[in-house]
Amino acid sequence: MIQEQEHTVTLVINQSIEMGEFGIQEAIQLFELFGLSYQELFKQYFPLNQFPKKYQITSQTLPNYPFVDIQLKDLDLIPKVLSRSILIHDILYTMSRGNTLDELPNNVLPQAMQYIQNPNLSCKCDIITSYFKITQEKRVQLIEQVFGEKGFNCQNTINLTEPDILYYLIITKDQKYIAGCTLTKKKKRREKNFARNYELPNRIYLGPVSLAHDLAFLMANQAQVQENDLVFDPFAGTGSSLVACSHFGAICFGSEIDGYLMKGHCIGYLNKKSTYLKDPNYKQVKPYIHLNFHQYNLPTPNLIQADVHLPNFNPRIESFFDAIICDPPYGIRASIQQDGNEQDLQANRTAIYKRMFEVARKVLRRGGRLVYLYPLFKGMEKKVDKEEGFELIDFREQKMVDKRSRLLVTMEKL
Amino acid sequence: MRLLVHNLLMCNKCDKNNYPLKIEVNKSVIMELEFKKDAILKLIPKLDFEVLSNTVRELGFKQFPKQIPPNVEQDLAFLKDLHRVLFETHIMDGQLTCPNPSCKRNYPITNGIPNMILTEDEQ
Repeated sequence: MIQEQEHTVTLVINQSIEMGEFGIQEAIQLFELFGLSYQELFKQYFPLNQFPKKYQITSQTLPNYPFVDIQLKDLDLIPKVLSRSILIHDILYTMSRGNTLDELPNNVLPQAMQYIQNPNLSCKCDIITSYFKITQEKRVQLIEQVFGEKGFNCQNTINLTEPDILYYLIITKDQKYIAGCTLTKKKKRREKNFARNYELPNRIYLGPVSLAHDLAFLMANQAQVQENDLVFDPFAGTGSSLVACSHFGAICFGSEIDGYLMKGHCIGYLNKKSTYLKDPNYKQVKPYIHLNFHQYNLPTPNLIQADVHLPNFNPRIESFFDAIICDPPYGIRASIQQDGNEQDLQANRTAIYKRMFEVARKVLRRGGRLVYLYPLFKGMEKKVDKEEGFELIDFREQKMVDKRSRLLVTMEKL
Repeated sequence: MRLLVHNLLMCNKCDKNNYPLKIEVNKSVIMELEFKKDAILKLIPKLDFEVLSNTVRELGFKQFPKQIPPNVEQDLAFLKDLHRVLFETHIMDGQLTCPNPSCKRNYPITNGIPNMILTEDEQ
């Protein structure tokens, strides 16, 4: 039997403080979606008999974080994962590693030579560090030292705008070095920035607490939303979560108690800064929530105005949906904006989440995902209560202003 | 509102004979959408096809089949009709009515969204 060859690749997780450790859970979910379990993904970090739960894998337990070395048999996973990732900055084919810079050229993997010695490839070199900055001068010097004549002696031509291959020198927090390169095609790399088109400042129709585009995509990834999945948001608002799911090809359903918000009176507003207003295809339609789907050429979602306490679904809805993604009301941003009585808010919140689970129990299929945000206030413990009928898959904290934060929770229906 | 949604809604004011809701259309539009066979095939087993078929025929599409045709996967003409009915046809203005004679609660559809909210004394 031929042993399939394994390649070492390095995940470069985005070091956004705002997004905390959402990148780790995203990597777990995306590799799993494309067929690689998290036990396989992190096998070199933890002993099999004491393998942690997904949510126990943190930056503290991954020694080189935000750089994560993994072994892949199938390099085709790389473009698949990158095509829908928000917080994985890149996935690099590991060419060499060393404790000092001088060690790097001696440790180059034989398979990497095909790239380094190919004069028909164009390249660009860069440096990624872990939470520290280096000067431009130092940067140039390091690149020359590693990739120049006395180092790897790269035979590629240089192309800074559209290179065939990107070389990276990674400097880890304990001052070790990894040299890697991208294997994704130029075109694929451009697609990697798909999410930028969806940024809220350019979104045509906004509400007071529209969900940020990157968070919406992260939630869709937590739910592993795929083509033709049936997705429901019981607190649809201006449709932010459904826009992200729709981008991944889902058939979307939403309910919202505030009909004005969906249709476009009162608190929802047309964004005067949106470039879509100048688009030749722009046409003002009601309900305004549809504009957010027309803007990106996505199918409009299936919306009803309903109270989540009394959803009007008939029994056929049982196990109908593949995923529920939502940001329930009285969340962290709503409470920052309104100075309501905190006790009343908390009572409303408890009732809403209880109801959200009741609805999810009924309408989600087995194995379907429930992904939601949950606010944490001063003094509240960072934990997620056990919920009957669901398995907790992951939860991570997003720090916000004034010591408040919120959890992004992923559950799976049993 | 697509007929896909109609297929899933019931009246919440009463709890008997409250499905399917009667439908009255004042304005409907067709918004074209890419035909995706897999999406349609996925939805078919989830539909109350009898209700869908009755509704579609009542609304004027008389040739629409009463039952899911055999060999549905190969029946491209039917799948395209179903695509038109489920995904492309939007009721923008009209109303839904509870079929229960002792209820008959109306739910207006405006700007393409049915309002299913009950008043406090109805709950």
